[in-house]
Amino acid sequence: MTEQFEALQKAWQAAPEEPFVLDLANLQKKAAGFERTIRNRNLRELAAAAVVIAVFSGYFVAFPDLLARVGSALIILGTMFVVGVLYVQGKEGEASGAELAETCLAAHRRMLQRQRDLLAGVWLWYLLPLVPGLTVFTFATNPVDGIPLLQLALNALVFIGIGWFNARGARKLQQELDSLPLPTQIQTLF
Amino acid sequence: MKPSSRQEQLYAEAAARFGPALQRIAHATEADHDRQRDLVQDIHLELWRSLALFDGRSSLSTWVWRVAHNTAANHVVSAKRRNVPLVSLDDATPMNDPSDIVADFEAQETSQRLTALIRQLALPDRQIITLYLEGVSAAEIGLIIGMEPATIASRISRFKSRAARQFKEKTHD
Repeated sequence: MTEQFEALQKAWQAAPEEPFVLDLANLQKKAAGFERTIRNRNLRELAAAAVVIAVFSGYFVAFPDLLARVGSALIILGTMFVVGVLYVQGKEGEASGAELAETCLAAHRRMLQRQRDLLAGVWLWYLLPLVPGLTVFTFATNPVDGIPLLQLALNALVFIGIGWFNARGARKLQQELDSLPLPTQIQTLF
Repeated sequence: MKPSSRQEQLYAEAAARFGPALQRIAHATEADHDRQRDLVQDIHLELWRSLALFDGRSSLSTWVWRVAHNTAANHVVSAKRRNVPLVSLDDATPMNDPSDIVADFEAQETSQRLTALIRQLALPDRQIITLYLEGVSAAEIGLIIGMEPATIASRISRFKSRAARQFKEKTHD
């Protein structure tokens, strides 16, 4: 049996490989490319927020009604808050060289925890900041003689749906975390 | 950050010693050929970046294995490229045609079937088995993965049992 497993190891290590050229200049270029990708992602998020802020700034000016202006202002503030959270969480999501040199279990656990927390936190960090502004704005832009139940119900349905899907994703990640072996005291490299 | 010559020297040494193994890690992680090549580059990039922090408290091999496997794991999770559900060692679909394997251990088909088996495995089993196939000791695998060597040995033993069901016993073994 030992012979058979040695043969398996040999077969594994003899797998044909494509030549890989060691090129430091290219690596440095790729590192710069990574940073550009992250910057572009941040810019896209900023651009989307800028559109929302521009639209509701327009509403703030166009609707003289106090309630509409309060609603617009709350949505603008909520959007800026969400952008701030995205930026901070994006920074935390980039694995540093130190984190990549952790034990594989610790690194995998940290990655799953980060993703779980992101999904579990969708309600708190991404949806809730927009609820006050959207609610006030909905009241403001609907007929004064009725409560805009349908509109509010639709808003609530969308938000609850988004929250539910993300919470389900967080639960799946927790299950995956629970299935990982427990960490042991292993030599740290730092 | 301007790379130091020490970082470059360490990287050159790591790439020379572990280059083929890093390709095999990418091969065991990603079935698509183009994404495999991207992953190889990503592993080399992260290795190079991380070596700016290497201070010799661990062996270079432990460092390289950790960075390579963690980069590959990030690739799987962030790209969500799970074309098939990942399974534990016990549930992995066995390799086919044991008679072909017995007849020709070193055939390319053996390597391909082995790779297909390994791609099914969830973390950390995939990392453990890949390291075992690279000839890394259970003690060092334990340091790399963050598990006790006894647990590592137990998982390797389960993998051997799984694969042994496909082999005919040789009379002189």
